[in-house]
Amino acid sequence: MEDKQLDARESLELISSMIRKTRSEERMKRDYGTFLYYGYSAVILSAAAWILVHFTGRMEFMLIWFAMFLPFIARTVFGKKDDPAVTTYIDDMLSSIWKVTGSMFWLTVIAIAVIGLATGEMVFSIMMPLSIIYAGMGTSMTGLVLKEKWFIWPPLAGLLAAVYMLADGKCDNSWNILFGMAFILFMVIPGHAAGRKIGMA
Amino acid sequence: MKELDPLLHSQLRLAVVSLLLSVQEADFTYLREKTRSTAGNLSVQLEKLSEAGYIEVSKEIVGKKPKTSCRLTDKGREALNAYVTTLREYLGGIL
Repeated sequence: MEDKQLDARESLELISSMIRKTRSEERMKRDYGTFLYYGYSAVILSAAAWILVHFTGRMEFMLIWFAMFLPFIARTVFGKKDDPAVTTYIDDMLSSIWKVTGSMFWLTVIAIAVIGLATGEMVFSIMMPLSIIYAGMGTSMTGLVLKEKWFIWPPLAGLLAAVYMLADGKCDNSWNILFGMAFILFMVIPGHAAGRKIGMA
Repeated sequence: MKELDPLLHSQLRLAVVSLLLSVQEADFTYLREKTRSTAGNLSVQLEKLSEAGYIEVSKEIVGKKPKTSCRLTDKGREALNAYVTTLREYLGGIL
């Protein structure tokens, strides 16, 4: 491109063409792989927890759920460090949504630990329904920002599992199945469906 | 009829400002690829836009590489808006 003068029509066409370029870039770089990464991690852990509890009869194996922080740590430590060439307003908004959502997970664990130390009873099982609610809210908000219907409504269906857990209150091995199914419903299936639209999954 | 802003009425500078309109921030390489300009020419035009306060240019070291990022300022956004309004007036007079 040269530093030449344009007439009025050429100027308007240039402005439109540059705006179109950034918009098509925006669509191309949507990374639904993150949903599949965390979705499958949750499903694998729920299957592992269910198998361990089912065959040993020991609920202590529910502690395996703390391994859910490992995928996040692995991605933070080993993930791509390159700065993106372009940051859109949508990128910034999504990053903020997931920072808040991620903080809710950490803060809940800390709150349960502090309350547990004060009362002498650690109730980490409540993390399961709360995780479904937090992740579901993050996914729904992402869907609203991206106008991607696959991410907007399925999390609300997944919330049924969380409501059942909270109403039931008794953590047993069925919670592992419910948790895994909720993540299949609102992360894995939408991740594949939305990814297929852009030829990714 | 108003005069067109001479700073924006050049192909490369107008392309840069238009690209920055719909993104929050873009780096030098991205702008060079999208505008298909040379690094030298783009640097000169970015400098002019920055001196006019239309864009903000920041330089940092990412990893071991220098990175130049640009973003449109409110003044730049208003200037582009006024430029498009004037263009429409021009075209309205012709059509």
